[in-house]
Amino acid sequence: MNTEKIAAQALKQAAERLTPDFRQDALSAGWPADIVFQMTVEENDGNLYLAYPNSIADKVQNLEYGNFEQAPNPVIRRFIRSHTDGLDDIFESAFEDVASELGAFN
Amino acid sequence: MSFILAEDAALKNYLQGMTVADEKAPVRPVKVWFGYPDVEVRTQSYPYVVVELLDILPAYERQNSGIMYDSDNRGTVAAQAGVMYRYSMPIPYDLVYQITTYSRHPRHDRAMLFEMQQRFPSQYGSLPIPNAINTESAYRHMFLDGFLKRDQIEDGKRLFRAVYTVRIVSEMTPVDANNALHTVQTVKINRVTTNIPAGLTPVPHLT
Repeated sequence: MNTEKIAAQALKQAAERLTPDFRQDALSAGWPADIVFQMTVEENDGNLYLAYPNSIADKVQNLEYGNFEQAPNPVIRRFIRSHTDGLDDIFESAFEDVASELGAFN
Repeated sequence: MSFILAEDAALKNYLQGMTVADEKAPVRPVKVWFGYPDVEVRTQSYPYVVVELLDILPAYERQNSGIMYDSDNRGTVAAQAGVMYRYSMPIPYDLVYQITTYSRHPRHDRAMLFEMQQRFPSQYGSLPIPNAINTESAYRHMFLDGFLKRDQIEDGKRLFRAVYTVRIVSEMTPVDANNALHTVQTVKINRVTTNIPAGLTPVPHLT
């Protein structure tokens, strides 16, 4: 039983579920759709991160942190904060599955 | 002052007094603004700091229930012998602020980085907030949740920016909560004004 593999798999599935959640949050906050639909939540080496092309990096940063023309509109920070507990649940659930498969609850 | 206003004022006050130095001015004060100032103001005022309220989050993990008693009604009235106040436990919140420093000069930028790191250590920051009648202060926990360096070019000139995300623990008192939830049902207007305070004039169409 490879626990790391199971955790990574759980994270990968979480990333797929989180991408539409993030996009919904960003659109609701008024971020432009052409930026939002280039952004995805991805998993790599046990970490979740927000991926977007370098070509929109400045625009994303300006939306999130503001600049001398616009106030900050912190969708990314809000998203991370609101989903931290959910990620704990994902790990918990993954390890419960592992424990269950190992017969811990028999 | 009440929830949010008290933290806003305390945070602005906490940021006052920063200075930077350069070859032209040995002491240059750093101004503090709520929200980004107009272009006319900001071009004359570098370096400066902008404070923005980003989020108001209920902190359920800190919620307690019960009844509290004290003699100054949570710092809103002067204590009187033999008088006690009774109220429900306040509702805990986290207030999230973005504090951004702006400067044109790299030396100013470094000086402000140093000052800000002193004021906002990662985990052990505290913000003094005076009570409503200004007789005592409570120290609220303050956390540096994020830091980002965002230098850029504005009008062909270098603009040094550092962005801090700061979380301040707070609470909404039952009085504030009641006021926030209270819905005005009716408004009564005296159509005949007989008692006009000095310096004020009645609104013509109501008299």
